[in-house]
Amino acid sequence: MISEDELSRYKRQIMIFGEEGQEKLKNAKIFVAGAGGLGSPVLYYLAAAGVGTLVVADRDKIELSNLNRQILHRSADIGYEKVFSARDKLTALNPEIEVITFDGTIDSSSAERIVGDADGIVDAMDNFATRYVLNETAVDKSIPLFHGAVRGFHGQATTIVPGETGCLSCLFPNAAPAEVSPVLGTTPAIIGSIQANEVIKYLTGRGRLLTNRLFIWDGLEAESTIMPFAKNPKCTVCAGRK
Amino acid sequence: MKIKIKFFARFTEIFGKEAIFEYEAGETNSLKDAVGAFCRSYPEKYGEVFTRDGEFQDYVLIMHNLERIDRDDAGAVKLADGDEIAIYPPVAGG
Repeated sequence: MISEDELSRYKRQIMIFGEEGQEKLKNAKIFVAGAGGLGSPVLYYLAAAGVGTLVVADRDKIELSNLNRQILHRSADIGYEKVFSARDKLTALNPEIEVITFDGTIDSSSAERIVGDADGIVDAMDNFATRYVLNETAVDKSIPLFHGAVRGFHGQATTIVPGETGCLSCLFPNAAPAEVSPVLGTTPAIIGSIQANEVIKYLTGRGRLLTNRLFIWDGLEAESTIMPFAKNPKCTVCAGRK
Repeated sequence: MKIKIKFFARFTEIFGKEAIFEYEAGETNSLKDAVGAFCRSYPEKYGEVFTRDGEFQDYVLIMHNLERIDRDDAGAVKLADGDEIAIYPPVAGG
């Protein structure tokens, strides 16, 4: 049930998807991998929209060099675990939601357990190795994966619905080389907002998801490009799976 | 023969946003050959896009006239005048 306070808090978006849609958000549990550049806008917007349970996973502590883009965290938080800083900010923004934290490494031995019974996974990671683990977990659990990645003024996003669409390994059969990416706060703000928008669309059943399409953003040109893709029948992760 | 090659993300720092590439179309007028010939004019950066064996790097995404092309098929895709190729190196930061 939606309370009087919640009716008031979410009034302007209940105009879009009704109390029924708000109830769907409230009953949802979303796993967000990473509380950094992408995780900050994703978590803020999912919390503000009233996604009932957010699971935040990150192993890092806050450093000064994070603060140009990781807007969940403050100068006074330096040295504090990102997941606890995230929980503090999100529950201050919206005390109606529950924030669960995992202060550790997401890998093939932990992913199944920490994702648990979440309804979807947001990929707000900074490396392809962990992204592939998240993709396999999403395919195993048959829950959607909301992918985003950034570099400098450039970013990309796509939504994967296992069983219906190509997966992350269909799209990226091989990882891009690791590097310390240059990045500006506005790029993860744009890409993370697209990811959060996709989660809200998925949960409320609104619109057309960003599936089988890679959204490519060039902030220097203020231009976007769509790259269509499909299931790879030879995919080592999802081929032959339901 | 004239084609347009568009580059994205960090490749724009090497090759610019897009290039019109004019060349003599020979018997081996494939997408891979044409983009390879263009990138060879940047000898120090050729290896960013291609391996020493002349194959696309395995992480590079390729589009031909807005359709995704599998890396393994890039040598079989024949080009026509005015075609547009897009070369995308996925970004990985978060």
